[in-house]
Amino acid sequence: MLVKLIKHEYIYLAKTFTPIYIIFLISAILVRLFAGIDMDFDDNALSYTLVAVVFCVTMIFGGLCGIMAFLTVIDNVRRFKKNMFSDEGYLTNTLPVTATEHIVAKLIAGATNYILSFVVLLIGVMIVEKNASISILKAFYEFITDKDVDLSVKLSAVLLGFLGYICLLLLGYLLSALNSMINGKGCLSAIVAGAVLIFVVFSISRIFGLMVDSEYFPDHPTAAILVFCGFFAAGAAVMYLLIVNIIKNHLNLQ
Amino acid sequence: MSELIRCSGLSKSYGKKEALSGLDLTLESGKIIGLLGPNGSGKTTLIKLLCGLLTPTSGSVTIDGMEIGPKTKAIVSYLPERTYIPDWMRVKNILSYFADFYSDFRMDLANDMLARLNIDVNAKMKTLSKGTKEKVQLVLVMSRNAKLYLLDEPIAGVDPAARDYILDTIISNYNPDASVIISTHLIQDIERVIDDVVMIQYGHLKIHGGADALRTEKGMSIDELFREVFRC
Repeated sequence: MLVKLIKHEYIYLAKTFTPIYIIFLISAILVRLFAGIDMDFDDNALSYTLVAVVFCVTMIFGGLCGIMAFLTVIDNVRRFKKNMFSDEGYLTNTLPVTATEHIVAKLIAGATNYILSFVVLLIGVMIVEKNASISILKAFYEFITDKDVDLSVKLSAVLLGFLGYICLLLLGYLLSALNSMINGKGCLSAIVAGAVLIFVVFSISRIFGLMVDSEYFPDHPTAAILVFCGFFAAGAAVMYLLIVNIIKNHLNLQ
Repeated sequence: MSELIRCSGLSKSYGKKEALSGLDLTLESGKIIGLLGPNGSGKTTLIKLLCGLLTPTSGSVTIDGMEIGPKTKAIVSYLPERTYIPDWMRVKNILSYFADFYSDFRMDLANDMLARLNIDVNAKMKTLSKGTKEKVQLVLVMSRNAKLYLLDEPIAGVDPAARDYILDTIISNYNPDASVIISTHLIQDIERVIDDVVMIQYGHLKIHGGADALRTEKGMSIDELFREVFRC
């Protein structure tokens, strides 16, 4: 059933994000083309129109560059909330599927979407400014091949990034689930619960941050990163258990 | 006939309001059951507990001897009282969605029913009227070879001409070994199809028995009995 859930997540992603990627890539091509045009500004309607078009296309390209990563997170969490706790929950929650399968399918779709968006972003930047993308890829390649940095540091850094992203999605899921669970008690309760949760998560991460900054790990960057990984993994596990518990025992589709 | 549903001391509260209160009920397979009661009597709550959309405050409920979970969801076909299919989907998309998740879904039957209702499988859900969306949902539910059909107000949102078609669809398409629970206020419309009657009020079981036996015993139709029992 997990494979089928993932399949339908991908169908949704293809339908939603393909137009965004196409718009982004077209805007990148246009920005590149405009960059090659000699923009001598004359005080006539055509010049104003051209400037307006260049401005709009550049804004679309720049805007999508800035929000693409956020968009994947926001869309994924929004979809989780809509699928599980709104009217669509009448369909989703009556499927012969476990809560774990629902969560895992959404996380896999979210991670895939994030990676795909990064690749599209890189292609877009490459279209506009070839050198910038080459610099990014070069920096990435140098990090991979740098013999001064241990392989363990590189792997743990990748793991940290992955776990951090998963934690971010799970935090969104948990807030949605809490909001649904205490829906009957009013909006204020949901906001207070969300604020308390975020405060607790950031307080704990701050404590871990201070530990890593201090004398505990002066010469062991891998250990320092793994401490963070451990924190994220523990946080993800706690959030996952809470979400499953809410879906299984406190589902509240009134 | 075998026991299909067992509710033991089943209670469900929303905050301080008790929707179901210590309900004890056993239902057998192979019957069409009318779940009747006035507004706020707990009908929808009972149905949602059976399909796992709500969890009991206390007591227990089993279907085919199993606790509510993925295994019971695989044998329960549920029609909610609202439209739930995502607007971005086309009718054919939701058909393949059901075919993917329910091994008992009969695609040929679904296509046949949609054709008879003049519903285009390429139509987007957001372009359909509320009544047509409800018909699509009914087709999805009745195209399954389930053990239990839970129909919450299946004829409330459609025109009187379509009601007969829907009731005929229910009768002619459900698995004879299965049970159908129909919750509705339109008792006159369903009176001809129901075998058993369950009446609940304020979350308590008021009447449970065979429709024919009740008619003979009380000397009135189920519709008249409902008006008698729940007179304001």
